[in-house]
Amino acid sequence: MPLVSPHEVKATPSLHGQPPYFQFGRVYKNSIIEASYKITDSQLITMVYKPSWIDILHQDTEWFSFRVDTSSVGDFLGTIYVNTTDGQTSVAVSITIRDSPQPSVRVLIADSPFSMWSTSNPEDWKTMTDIMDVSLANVTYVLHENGYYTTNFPSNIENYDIILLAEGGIMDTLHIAPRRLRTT
Amino acid sequence: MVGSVQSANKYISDFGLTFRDEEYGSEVIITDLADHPITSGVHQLRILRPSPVMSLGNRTQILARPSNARPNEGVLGIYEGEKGRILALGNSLLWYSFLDYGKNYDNPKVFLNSFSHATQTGAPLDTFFWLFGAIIAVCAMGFATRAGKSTRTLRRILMVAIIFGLSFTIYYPIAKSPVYARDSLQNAFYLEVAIVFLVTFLFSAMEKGLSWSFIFGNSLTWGLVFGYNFFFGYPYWLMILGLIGEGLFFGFLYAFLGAIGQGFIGWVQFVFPGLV
Repeated sequence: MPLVSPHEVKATPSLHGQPPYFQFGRVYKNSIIEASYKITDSQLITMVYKPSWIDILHQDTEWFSFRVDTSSVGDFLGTIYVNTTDGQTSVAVSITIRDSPQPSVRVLIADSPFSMWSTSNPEDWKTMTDIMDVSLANVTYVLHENGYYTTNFPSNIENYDIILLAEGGIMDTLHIAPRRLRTT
Repeated sequence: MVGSVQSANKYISDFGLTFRDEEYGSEVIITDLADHPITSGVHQLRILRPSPVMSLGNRTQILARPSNARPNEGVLGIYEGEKGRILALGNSLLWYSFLDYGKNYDNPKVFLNSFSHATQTGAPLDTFFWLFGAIIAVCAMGFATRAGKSTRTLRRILMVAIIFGLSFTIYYPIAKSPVYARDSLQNAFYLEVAIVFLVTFLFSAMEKGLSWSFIFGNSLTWGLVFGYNFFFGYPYWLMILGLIGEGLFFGFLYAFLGAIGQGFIGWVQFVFPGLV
């Protein structure tokens, strides 16, 4: 069943990192959207520029993670620039944030698929983001890095209709709140 | 990921489901699908390197089975019972190996169905019907008490019940739609309670022949309906459709309970003359 999102903001690919760009699709206001980016074949020196609606969560010599500020509604397209040992590189980020119509389902996904090891072809995410879009899912993507959740795994998991635990999510939530998850 | 099967089993084993650390093959096409809301409209799945999930409990069901799977196992298992609901998919990287890899098959439909199914617990709807039914029964009995004294009033009540019947639902299918899931169902309940009180007010108005009260109450009801829709961003046609359908149902319910109530009052009047 092919799905086509009627609304999409396009980002252009980066040549020096993975994933080449981030395209989160359409999400709801105040959702948690986290992702990470891997610098390939060089090392990160400094963060040169980031859009104001992106918050850097963690920065290392080979990767950084970030969260999108979803407090405002609209189409957002921007680029993060970093200095590396091989010169400057950048990664584009696009997202559309909405607050209507009312979401039909609240979904928590752990670990976020938008992670540095996930794919070299961000089009792979499109089926998932389109599903979230057309089903009016208020989705939260929580990032897992090196065995811990950067956001402190959401404490209000009772507020989610669906909790999708992928590999990292399964592994890590075992020591965070397994009983609560089982009974939610 | 190393250890993920064992970790996942720590979650699902309490529910009578267990993953096995094996693969059915590289590209697996599945057409053996159980009858369940999550597989509704699903005919064929394509999955990359799926693993078996076994059904070992009473409230578990295997929803999708490869042709070479054993009888009690498959790639998609579900537990639904007093502990809640858990869906086990034997597949890593679900956004790629399941969703994107099977995007031209029915894989996305499984997710869409799961989303709908997860928000239809049944409990809010049942509670809604019981509560609403109780309110209507009380109203109907009250009006029947009055109606017992006048067939003209009874005709009015039946007429208004049918008219206002049109302010109520095909509620059930509407409530099952994703647009009416959980939060909005609760909001709809509050709205419906408000409508019941307005209908009560209108009945009283009709009893006294106050046409302005009828107009005022009617306007207020529809104002509330449209205001509600505007505030929550729903399409107007959906609420109108819901109200019309609901009307057909509750209109008849009003009339039915009213008739029973009238019969009861008639019996009381016969046995205890002058009491009512």
